[in-house]
Amino acid sequence: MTDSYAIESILAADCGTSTTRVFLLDVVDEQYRFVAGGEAPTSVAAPGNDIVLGVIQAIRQLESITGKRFLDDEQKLIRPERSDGSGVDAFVATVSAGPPLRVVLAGLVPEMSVTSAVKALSWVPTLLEGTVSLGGDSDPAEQIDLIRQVAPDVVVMVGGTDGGAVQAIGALSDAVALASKLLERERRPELVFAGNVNARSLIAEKVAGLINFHPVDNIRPRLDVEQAGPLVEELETLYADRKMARLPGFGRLSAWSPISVVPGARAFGRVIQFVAEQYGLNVLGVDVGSSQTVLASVLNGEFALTVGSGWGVGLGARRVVSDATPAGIARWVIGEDATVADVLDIALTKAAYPRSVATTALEVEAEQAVAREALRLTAGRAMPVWEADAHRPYPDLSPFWDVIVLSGGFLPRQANFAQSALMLLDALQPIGICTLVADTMGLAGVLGAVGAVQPMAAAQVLEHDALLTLGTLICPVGTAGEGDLVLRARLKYPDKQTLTLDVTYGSIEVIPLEAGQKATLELRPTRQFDIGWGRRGRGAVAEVDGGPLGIVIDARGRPLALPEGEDDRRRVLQKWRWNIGY
Amino acid sequence: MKHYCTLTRVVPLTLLRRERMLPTRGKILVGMDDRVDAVDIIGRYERPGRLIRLDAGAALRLGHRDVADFLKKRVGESVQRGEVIALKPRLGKLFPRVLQAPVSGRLVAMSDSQILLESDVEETEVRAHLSGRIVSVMPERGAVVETAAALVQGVWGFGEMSHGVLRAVVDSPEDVLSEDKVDVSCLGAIVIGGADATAEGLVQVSKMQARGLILGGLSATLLDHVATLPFPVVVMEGFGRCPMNPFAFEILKSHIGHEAAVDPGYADPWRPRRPEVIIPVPVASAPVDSAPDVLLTEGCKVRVVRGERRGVAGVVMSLPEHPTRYDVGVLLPSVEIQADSGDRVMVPVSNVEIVG
Repeated sequence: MTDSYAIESILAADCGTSTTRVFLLDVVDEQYRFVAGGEAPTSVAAPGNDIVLGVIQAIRQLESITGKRFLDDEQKLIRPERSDGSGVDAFVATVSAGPPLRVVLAGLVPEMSVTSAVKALSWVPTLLEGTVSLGGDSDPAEQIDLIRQVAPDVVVMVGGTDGGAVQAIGALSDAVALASKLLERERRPELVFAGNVNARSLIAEKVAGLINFHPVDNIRPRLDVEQAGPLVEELETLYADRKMARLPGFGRLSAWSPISVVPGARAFGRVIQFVAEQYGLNVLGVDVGSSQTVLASVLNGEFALTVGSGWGVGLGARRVVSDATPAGIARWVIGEDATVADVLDIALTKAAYPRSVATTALEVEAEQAVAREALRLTAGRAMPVWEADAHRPYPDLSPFWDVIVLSGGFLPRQANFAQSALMLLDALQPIGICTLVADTMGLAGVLGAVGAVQPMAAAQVLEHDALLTLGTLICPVGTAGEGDLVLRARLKYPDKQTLTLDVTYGSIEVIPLEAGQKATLELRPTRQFDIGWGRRGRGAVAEVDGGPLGIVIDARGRPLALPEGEDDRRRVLQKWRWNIGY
Repeated sequence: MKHYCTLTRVVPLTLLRRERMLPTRGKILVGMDDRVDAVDIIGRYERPGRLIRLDAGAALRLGHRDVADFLKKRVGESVQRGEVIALKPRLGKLFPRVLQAPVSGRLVAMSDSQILLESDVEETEVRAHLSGRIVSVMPERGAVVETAAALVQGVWGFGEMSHGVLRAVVDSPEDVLSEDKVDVSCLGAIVIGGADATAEGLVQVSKMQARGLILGGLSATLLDHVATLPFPVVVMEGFGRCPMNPFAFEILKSHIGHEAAVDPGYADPWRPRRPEVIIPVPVASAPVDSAPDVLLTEGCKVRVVRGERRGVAGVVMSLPEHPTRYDVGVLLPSVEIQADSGDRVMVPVSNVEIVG
């Protein structure tokens, strides 16, 4: 429910794991615009131990920038805006500071339901701590011990189609019940069951008085039907209740807002959905944060959210190092005489000081390398979510996106946009032709929450202030020999001038096209290469958008491969950076 | 424009309180107002053991039938290795079928014909690691110790909390802890190292049965080695070679020979708890611990945590209104610092922490 007065000025807070940002939106010349922002360290941990403290400090910085007063003498938000200009009409907040839900998945012997549940988990900030299954060679004592050792927040149990046998599910719930009994009451997990509906009463009986039972619709009611929605909704509710709401000071933060505080990933997803629906396009939003990486996508009208919990460039760097290996990160670094150990030192120091910024060339390279791997790992998790169809003809590659939005505090905020684009191209390896857009001030997330109190404000700020078209990416799919022709491009500028370019394999070519300009681009790929027009070798003519980057043709082939030899690897990385104008 | 920073606690004397909690419910052995020494036990708990499934149905040849009538032990009871858990008489009293405990342990659950036995349950103690006074007791959970102490926080730690007498093996925070610097004076001590350590140096500290190690920096390549050490390691500045900030180094050096607690903290990415060294100081009174304001102002003591100036510590001289451009092309709000060396340096606000 929103307030009854007209909402003009809005303060939107984004509480990340390391940094809290506030954004002031207000009506300027009859349009909602972004006015100014402030930031401060997030204060969930000691010595602050209160999420509101970081918000207040960010607001204090905003006050020092704008000269306006938003907080009263008791540090309470002044609302609505007063005639003297102090205060704001509305406050909204998104939070991604909370830890993810720790989940153990319980299923019958590896089967489709387990695969579907893993996909569902990726929608919500979760960490899959283990999978237990009965049957086969599994020892029930080990399975019980796993749950007891992990003491997860939630056990997600799946299995069986509706109407099928329930004995195996019964045995599985015995194991969960027994493991829970061995845990202290306050450490016992919630049990979410998304399996055979006929087993609900049996499970309810077995766990009665022990743990909270949350039955939801079967994720696989029939072998040929997958419905993740009810399980995702239940996990979102549990995340909000058990993680977000338990952050110190969360109650006070919530009391400031007329709507529920929204998880950051979900709010970002709303904006990507809005953009996709507004223009009827396939859109991918990418946000590499301090402790999580989020991919929000709309493909053929289907929205999907993939949260890479624990993979980030700040606090999450440690997990990226662990999952991608130090050598996997260092392969993206040129750094004169830099060793894997040097890169590792930088990555872990960044994890120790997540708000710190890179000021040496090697630090920049190492941070961007961590971002590449965080994005690559998260994209790997998203791959099963994106359905194979005409827009996704290559199972091991990303779908054809019309628009990719770079968001968050890291990706779009590099020394230049070429660096941002190259990180994306290396890590996600997009294919076909797409427009690259940057959320330059990191507004997209909070606009997802703003839209709930004043949709017009979200739409206008998104259009005027948040999104900047960087240019067009053209990424042919295929492989060839170094220097072989990949495609011939002919660009007709608005002033009728033309530019013709032969693009060879292994290179990145940039054709300048200024921001706001559109041009006609004729592409003629050779027969080994597909640029998204139905088959390999098929060319066509397209209207393309300009921007600070212009038109970037990534002719390095898909899948992208780095040379094995150390010298060759450095030479090739350097060449790509020069090519794109790093 | 106002700037807020993160904070590193480095305090020569304060009255602080620290919780000593059991990880699971247990027995608390201290009471309110008790005086405790570092070695004193706050409480005891049972560390969970290994679960073993026993198939009583098979042992008694009852299949999946309920074995309840044949049980000689109940859930919750302890059993010794070889002790009979279930017995089914056969041929009168001759040749009974039995289920014996394969190891000593405790029966934790039973379901029809299946029994769960927990072995290797270990009674574990939580010690005070600090001399002080108990100011709060949470029954079955833990207690809070209050002490007047010097407090020095680090940034990364590993291992379990410990205590011991402080010994320095380096004269300067710039020195690297090497094998030759570690001698018998380190026996059972908390060792203060320098800007980094060599692998051989770590081995030597371990040979001296040290109770803890405090370093300025640590090469990340040594992390696997550190994980095998039997004592906690606290890193003050970060990874890679880096001298310990002079504020911390001076406090530690001034307490050589004194007993200190080393808490490696908790590296949870979402709720981290900073590692710290606490050195109780025998004084009649001390100011109550309170974290200082984290608003960056002229005169603040700060340390630089990243970049070319990493390790520099000093005092804020000015906060320029306009951002500074750095060689890597980024434009960042910055702060001018008068370093201890006398140099004035400009560093990004995001790369400093307030010390206090």
